[in-house]
Amino acid sequence: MSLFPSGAAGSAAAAGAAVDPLIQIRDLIYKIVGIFQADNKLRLLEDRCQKRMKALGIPTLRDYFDCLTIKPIRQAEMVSLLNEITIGETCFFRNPPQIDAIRKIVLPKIIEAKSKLALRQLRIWSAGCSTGEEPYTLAMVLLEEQASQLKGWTTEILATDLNERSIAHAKAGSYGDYSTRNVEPLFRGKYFLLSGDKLRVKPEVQSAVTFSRLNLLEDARMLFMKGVDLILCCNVLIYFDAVSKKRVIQHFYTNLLQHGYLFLGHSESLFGVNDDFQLVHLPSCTAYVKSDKRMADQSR
Amino acid sequence: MTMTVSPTNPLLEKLASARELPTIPAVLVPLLRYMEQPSDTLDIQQLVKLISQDKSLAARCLQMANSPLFGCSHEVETIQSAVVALGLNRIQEIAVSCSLLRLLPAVSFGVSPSVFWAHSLACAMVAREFASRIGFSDPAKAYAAGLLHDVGIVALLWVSPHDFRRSFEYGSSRRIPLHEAEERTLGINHSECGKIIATSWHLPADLVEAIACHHSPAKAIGNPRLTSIVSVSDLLCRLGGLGYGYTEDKQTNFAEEPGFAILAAHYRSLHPFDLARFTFETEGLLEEVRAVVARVYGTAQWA
Repeated sequence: MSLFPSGAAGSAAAAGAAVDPLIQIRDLIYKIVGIFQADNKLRLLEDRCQKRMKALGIPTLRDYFDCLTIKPIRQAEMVSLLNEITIGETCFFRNPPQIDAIRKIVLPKIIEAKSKLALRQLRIWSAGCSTGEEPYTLAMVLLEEQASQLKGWTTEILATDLNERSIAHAKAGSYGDYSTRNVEPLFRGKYFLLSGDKLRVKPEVQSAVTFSRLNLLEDARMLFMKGVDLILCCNVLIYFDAVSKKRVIQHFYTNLLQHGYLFLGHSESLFGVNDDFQLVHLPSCTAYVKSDKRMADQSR
Repeated sequence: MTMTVSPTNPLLEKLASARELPTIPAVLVPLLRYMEQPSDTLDIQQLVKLISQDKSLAARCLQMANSPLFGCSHEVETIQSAVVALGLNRIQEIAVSCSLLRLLPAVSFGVSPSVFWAHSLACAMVAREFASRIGFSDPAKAYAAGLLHDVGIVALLWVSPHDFRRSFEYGSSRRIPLHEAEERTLGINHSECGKIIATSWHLPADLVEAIACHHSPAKAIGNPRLTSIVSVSDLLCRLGGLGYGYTEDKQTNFAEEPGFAILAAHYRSLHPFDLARFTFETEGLLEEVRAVVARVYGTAQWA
């Protein structure tokens, strides 16, 4: 298998039967849900497909591709495959480059922008926080910065999810080995308490996050999420159809302040979904910022 | 572009007058010449012989040919069979890439030699792919330019290793781009040194220009698209964690990068271009480059 096998996007599909069905599945996932599996992850993708094929009794990848495209169960099957792809991804410090970029580049830029406005208040939103690992990670990062760049700043972390049970789990703040596998010993000692065979986040971390149930498609409530500096929405939009995704992203655009940032999950893209946000590259990760073009249009 | 050099900096003067600049690895000269030729005019046996007679080069080429980076579908054991499996163009790229190793010192010079090689190789691979995606007419040339874009570092190291190490430490401790660190500490950057050495090697004018202007693509007048492809690819590699062994703490909006803007003015394929997807693909590629460099060269500190 050579790298970049599919060449120009779309050419693979046009070539028809000769194309590797795994590449077709990869491209289909990217087209429909916006999450990309790089070539060196294709074997992993194949394993995930094989799991689903076994469950459905489907013999070949080509048949499975058909199942994801033309069969009546295609939507449900795509969700099942996505669940396989993203399974076990929720954990503390899930995406280290993203966390480093927030601490070293994004926070200083936000602080600089807000200092000009004499607003020493930071508002972060973890949209689709699942069982709370992401917002608690952010809380620890902010607590670390409290003595330096965030000295004298008020910080607020809002964490929302559609699922009541996930929110209840998050509020309880108690986690097993798997969720905490990436937590460094220093942070483990500083921000967690041992509680039986679980680790419980310390009260100072817990109190830094406000959890609530929210449906990202509920326009009326989305309008209230105002004045946000940073939104993280990882592996959530992949479950939305194109129209809903556009709507949520448009809300995020409105929710964010002018200097605001939107982070998606690893290998998630907004290409073809929204032109107002601009892609920016940070060390080993990407983010989206509000574009000057749109702001210029608005001010006319 | 003009091929004359008018040094105004003591280091550049030293470089321009240095009688013992590193010489171009002998095998690179015919290899680069072959790359300029259309494939159908090439004498395959001559190329196979050129590579095969250099045992260590041939061994490294086979390791590369059998890696996922170049992707032989089955293990090849001779250069001849590698040509059959991968085609002439790929073998030339592999051989040119391995020849570059001849230029590097055996020990770390701030940047570890394997990190330097990995960055060069990654830039070559990304440049070739980016070139073909956007419709640039000569992706093989983009590969060669990407591979050689930082030869100025080798030149700088040759005339003043102490100065290079000083600017490297300045850059890595402040996490700023290396060329900016060089400008602040030495008053010049490696692309200016690269112009001198590439000229002394009599490289084709557009390669010299890409080497000389990859940090200032707006200055390229001969083949600005080639230089811009290298500029964008270099940046993608550094942002993707395959730079000079340290992370640059910077935010980049490619839409505002001069190299990207030059290409956007030329190519419809960039309107729009899915840079997010290309970045994710590049991430996968960079991981493979790390793996193959570790196998061919030995492990290194990546960043």
